[in-house]
Amino acid sequence: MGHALDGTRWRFFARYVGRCAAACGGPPRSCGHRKLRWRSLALRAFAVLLCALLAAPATADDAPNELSLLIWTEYLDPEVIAEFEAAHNVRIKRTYFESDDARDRIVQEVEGHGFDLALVNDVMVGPYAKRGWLAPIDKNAIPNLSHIGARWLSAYPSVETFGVPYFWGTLGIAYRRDLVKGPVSSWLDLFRPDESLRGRIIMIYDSRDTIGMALRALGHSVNSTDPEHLAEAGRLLEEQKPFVRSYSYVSLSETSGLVTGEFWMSMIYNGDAYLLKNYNENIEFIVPKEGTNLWTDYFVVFKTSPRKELAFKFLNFLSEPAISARLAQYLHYATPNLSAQKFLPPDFLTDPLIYPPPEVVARSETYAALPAQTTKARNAIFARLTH
Amino acid sequence: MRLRTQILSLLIPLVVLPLLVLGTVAYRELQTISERQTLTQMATLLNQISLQMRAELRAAAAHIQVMAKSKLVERYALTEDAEQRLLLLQPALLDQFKAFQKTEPAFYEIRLLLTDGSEDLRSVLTPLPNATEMEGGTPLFEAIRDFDGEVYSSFGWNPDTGLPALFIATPLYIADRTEDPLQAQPKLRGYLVFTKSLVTLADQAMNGRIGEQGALIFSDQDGRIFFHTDTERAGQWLPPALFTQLRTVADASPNASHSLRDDDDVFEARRIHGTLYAFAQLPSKELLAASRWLGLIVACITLGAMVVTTALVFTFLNVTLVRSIRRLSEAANEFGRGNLTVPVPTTERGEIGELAQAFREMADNLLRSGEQIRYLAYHDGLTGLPNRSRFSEYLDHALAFQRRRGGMLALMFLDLDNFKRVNDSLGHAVGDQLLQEVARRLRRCLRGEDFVSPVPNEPAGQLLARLGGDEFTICLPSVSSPHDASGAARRILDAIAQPIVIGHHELHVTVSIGVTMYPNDGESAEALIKNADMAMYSAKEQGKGNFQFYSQGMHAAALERLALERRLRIAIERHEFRLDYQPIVDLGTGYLVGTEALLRWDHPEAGTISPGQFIPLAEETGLIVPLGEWVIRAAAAQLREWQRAGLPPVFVAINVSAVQITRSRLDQVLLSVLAETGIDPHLLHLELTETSIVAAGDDAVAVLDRLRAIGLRLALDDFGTGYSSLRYARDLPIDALKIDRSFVQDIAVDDSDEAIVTAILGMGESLGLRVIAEGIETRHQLEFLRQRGCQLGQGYLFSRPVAAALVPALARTRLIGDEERVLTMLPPPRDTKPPRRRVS
Repeated sequence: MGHALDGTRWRFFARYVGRCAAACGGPPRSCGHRKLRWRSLALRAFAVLLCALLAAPATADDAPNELSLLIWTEYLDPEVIAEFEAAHNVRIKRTYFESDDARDRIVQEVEGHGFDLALVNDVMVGPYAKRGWLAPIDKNAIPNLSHIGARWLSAYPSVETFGVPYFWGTLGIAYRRDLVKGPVSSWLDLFRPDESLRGRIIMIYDSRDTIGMALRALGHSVNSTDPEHLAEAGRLLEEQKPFVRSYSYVSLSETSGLVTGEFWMSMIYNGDAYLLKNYNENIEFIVPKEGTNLWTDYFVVFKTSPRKELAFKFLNFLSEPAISARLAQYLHYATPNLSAQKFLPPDFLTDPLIYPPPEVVARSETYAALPAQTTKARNAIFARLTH
Repeated sequence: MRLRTQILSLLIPLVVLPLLVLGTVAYRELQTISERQTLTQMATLLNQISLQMRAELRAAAAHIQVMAKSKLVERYALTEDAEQRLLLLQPALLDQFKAFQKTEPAFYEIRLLLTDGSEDLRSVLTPLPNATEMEGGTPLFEAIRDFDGEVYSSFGWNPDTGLPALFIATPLYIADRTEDPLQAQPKLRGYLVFTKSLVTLADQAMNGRIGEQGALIFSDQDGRIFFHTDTERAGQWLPPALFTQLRTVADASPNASHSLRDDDDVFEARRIHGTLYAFAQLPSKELLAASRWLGLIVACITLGAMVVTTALVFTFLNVTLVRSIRRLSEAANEFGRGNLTVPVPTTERGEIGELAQAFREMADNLLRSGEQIRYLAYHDGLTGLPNRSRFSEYLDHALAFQRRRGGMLALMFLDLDNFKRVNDSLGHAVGDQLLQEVARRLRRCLRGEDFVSPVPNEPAGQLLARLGGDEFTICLPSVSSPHDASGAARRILDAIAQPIVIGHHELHVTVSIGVTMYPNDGESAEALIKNADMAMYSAKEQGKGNFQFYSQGMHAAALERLALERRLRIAIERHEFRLDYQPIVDLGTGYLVGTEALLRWDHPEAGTISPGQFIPLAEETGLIVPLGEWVIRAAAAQLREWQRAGLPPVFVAINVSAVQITRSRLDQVLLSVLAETGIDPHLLHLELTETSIVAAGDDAVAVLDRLRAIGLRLALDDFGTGYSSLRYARDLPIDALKIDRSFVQDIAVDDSDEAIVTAILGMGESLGLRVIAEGIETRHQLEFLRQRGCQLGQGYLFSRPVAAALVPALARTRLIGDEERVLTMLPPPRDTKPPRRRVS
């Protein structure tokens, strides 16, 4: 245990140094910048568009050794990046999004142009591919795919052709044990919170997660197409709205509202909860008893990318078992890279926060492609919720 | 007709008629203007609304076009795959629409319809029910589909809400960019439809008040009411006939409104849009009501103007003319009634003012002269005291007052003693001054506050009045006993007794006062005055300078006097008078030279009455005049008879009183007597006392001159008893002096009287006057007179007065020496003269 703690401390330190370095030269990781981005979707979209319009040609012509990556925050180990950059004399340019929905908006704005790589959640790989944005994965260029569990390679439509699994995880509730009264065990603790939580809750800006978990809280499938279920879920979300401070992903920095106590409860992905827990031990993460969503993130390569080979090299690099294990430990997420497990300590592999126990998995669902009417209804619910 | 009525009946039509005409014309003009204005206002309102709606429509069209041209919409519309569209693009598009709707909340619904009419996207700000997601068969969709243009717009009913809305739609014609841009034709991909709430229109309808009962109505092209000022009528249908009319009118020209009148209402109709009509409705009644109200106002103003003008004219006339005239006439009426103190208006100028001034002066003059008259009527000019009239009035009041009270009242009657003598001797001017002084003292005597009561109705005060001559009366109404009155009387006596200096004369005057008490001495004013007068006489008889209360005895004496007076008159008629003659003897020879005729009244019952008893009464009553005339005639006749009988020429001396000198034409009588008898005038001697000459006044001397001119001889009787004997003796045209008997009788008794007699004799001698001594009764007196050179004398020593028949015998006899014998033949002697008088 002591060793594990030591290791954690070291990682903290290393990440802190790395973040400082990144703040100087690389993409912004400071709290202020991030907040600004989170706050304004439109501004962010505009910024990205500018990036795409101005930077993309630059990467294509003037900077052939730059790889443009659209990715979540805190979802890569800077050291790993640095290693790859050093090895291939390339710069990894990262563009961040806060949620899958936000990413979809970025990508659709530019119709897939301007990025080489993106991290896409499971069910969205299909539509991305269908839209014609993605390039098929050259499996020959990524021999390390062999380390990845087969079930992830074909878990969702099109992923076999277009996706390289990265990590998988769950969705749950992070809360301040010291501030929230009573035990938190149900999604309803989040959606119908105690009065003391008014304005203390933070939700993910993602229609699939918010509506899906509301459905789940009500005992329905996260993929329910029943308009009644959806309407019910919509009402539940409307009820919750007064308690929600913001529909945006919680900050993962030391100054996160959850750490400072500004927010008491948040919908969160398990690995991120782990991260925040390191800042404040009062932060507790649970997977509600109703079950949750089991998700998998895939790397995709854009059809328009002029550096597909480099992209594949990068994906191959990330899929190396040792690298994968380093990333998993850094990010506190479960890796689909089976070979990486031998690089991981046992307590990591048995950590229920990272690897949900079977009963949790049994209660949980993966997202599925939905019919148009359901999507339309969800769009309407979410639009109303966030406006 | 009265002046005011006349002027008003002339002026009011002049004022009223133009005002009425003006009012009527103004009413008609204002009515037309008001109606036109109302309609104009309605039209203006509709025009404003129309402009506003068109602006809104333009803005909406601009919005929808901008939105339709946005890349996102284009990409969205181009994305035929529903999953891609909905999953990848719709959230972003919804964001875009919501962002727009947040800034323009009136666009509460934004939809994207596919070409078949299915609703692919719907963005609403607030949860709204959705009637259908398949719009394919709806009239709106058909209209949009059939519309050939850029932006479709229509006002209609939102099936989702059942409320009016503005629908803006634009077809999305987009060419596929994946095709050759030169070849690709824009293809209809769907429709963007905005639904806009008509809040502004609803506000207009609700607040756009047309008059009180009017309404602002918005309807669709079929006559269904979108909005109505009466909110309950929203959604209902306008009466089809009316709507058809209105619509026809409104359709006539789309850029202007037109008015329409039906039986009940006035409308202004305006087509704002092919699917939106606006109508302003005003009940005709109200339009007329406005006019009626206007009419009422005009009528009120006209009426008010008439009233004000009339009132002004009326007031002006009143103030300037009528009131002044009326006041003047009222004042004149008051003058007529005798009230001269009525104030006459003085504010006016011009003719009225002059008239008022004249009135005022007239009133003042009348007042002044009236006061003077009243003063003169009630006051004595000399002393300023109330006069007899005033006193009578006052006394009546005072008596009435005391009668009611049961109180007492004292009345004093005052008479100055010997005032006549003062007047005779010192002149009237002195007499007047004396009276004034007496009046002053009397005033002072009476207590200050009550000596005079100028107010007749206030009988509590005392009143001093001058009845005339030297008579004063005083009324003391507030006495409680005769004692009070006697106190007052004493005060008066003391006050008057103080010497009075007038010029160089120091006069000693006394007054006699008679007092009567009400109610004891009389009930009426007349009786009280009479009795007071009587008491005053009594005081005089008591020796003057005192006061007497009235008593019943006085009344008896007065009655006696009255009886005497009556008898005296009768006696004159009945010739009950006769003359006795007392011889006047030449003291040297002892023979009779003349006689003094002495009047005797042989009363049938009372016997002979002495002259002292009736002569004063006869003088007082004026009976002395006929009596005196009788005496003259009787004496003259007797003298003639004696002469005829051959008697030596003896003269007859007749006593003449002052009254005779002044009142009768004495000289005429004497002339006629002389003529009738033919006797020698020298034989008629008239004897006058100094007092009577003084009393007769200034004329006396003239009368005497005339008598002497006739040839009569005059003798001054009772000489020595007067006050200025010497002056009279020298100045009067007389021939003889008769020494008063009082002096003669005191010879050998009183030395001073002897001296007086001697002086008179000397004076007579030096003045060439004969001196006759009266009342010689003794030899000693005779001898004394003889020695002193007295030539003539009369008295008992020689003869008593005798009947005329005896005179011839006496004339032949020497009367000195043997008088004893003669005397015994005669009746016992009676005194022929009143007692000696002295001025007190």
